[in-house]
Amino acid sequence: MCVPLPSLNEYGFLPVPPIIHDVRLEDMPGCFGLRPRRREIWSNCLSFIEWLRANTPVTEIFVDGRFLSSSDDFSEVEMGIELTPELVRSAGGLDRFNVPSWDEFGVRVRYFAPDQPDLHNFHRAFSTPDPEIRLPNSSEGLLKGYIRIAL
Amino acid sequence: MSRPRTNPEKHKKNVAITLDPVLLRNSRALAASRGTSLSQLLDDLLREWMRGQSASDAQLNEAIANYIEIHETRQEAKARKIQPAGGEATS
Repeated sequence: MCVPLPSLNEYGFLPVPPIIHDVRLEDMPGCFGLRPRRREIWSNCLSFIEWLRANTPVTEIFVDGRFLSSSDDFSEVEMGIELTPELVRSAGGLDRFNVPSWDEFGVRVRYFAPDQPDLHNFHRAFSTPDPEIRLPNSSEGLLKGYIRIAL
Repeated sequence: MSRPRTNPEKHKKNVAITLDPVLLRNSRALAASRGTSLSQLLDDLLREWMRGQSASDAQLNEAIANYIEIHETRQEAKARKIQPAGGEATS
């Protein structure tokens, strides 16, 4: 179920639970896009999402990065895409996922294979606060939320 | 009454193919001996061939794993490249 973007918690991250917040594209960037720099970065993300829609069969993306925090120390948005055999078949191969994300759109794309959860699992990274921007009073085991958007 | 909606992707389509005359004659004879058309015979053969060609889930999972490894390596190299000297890359 999609809900409006929640407010950040006292640590400056999306509250948990849930770990994954299902958000509609039109509700983004919400509270994250108040400043011009954030609006600009999200605008690049939207261009990338349009590219994804036009060129790949991807139906959902996960969004994270310092963009989803109270920190202003960020330069890009991280996006996660789950690669399954079914998705790769419908794309006609893996070459379709050679997306020009970073160079053209300033988006860092991470991939994850649900059948191989120990391999560069972006879900683990996305649910762990970036140590460099974690507040000193937050515990080591603190979890944070991130976002899933259906395309 | 309006016609029922059908998916145009499921309609069979005509295509022109070029075959060696002997192969064409023998193929027609084979199709006739099986009580089918050359068109259906080719349809069956192509489907069977495509089934053999399509990768299994296990093969695709292996290819995905290799792809993710390469992708991550490239991303890390790129991050190191754009990272200011002595600084940390930020996201």
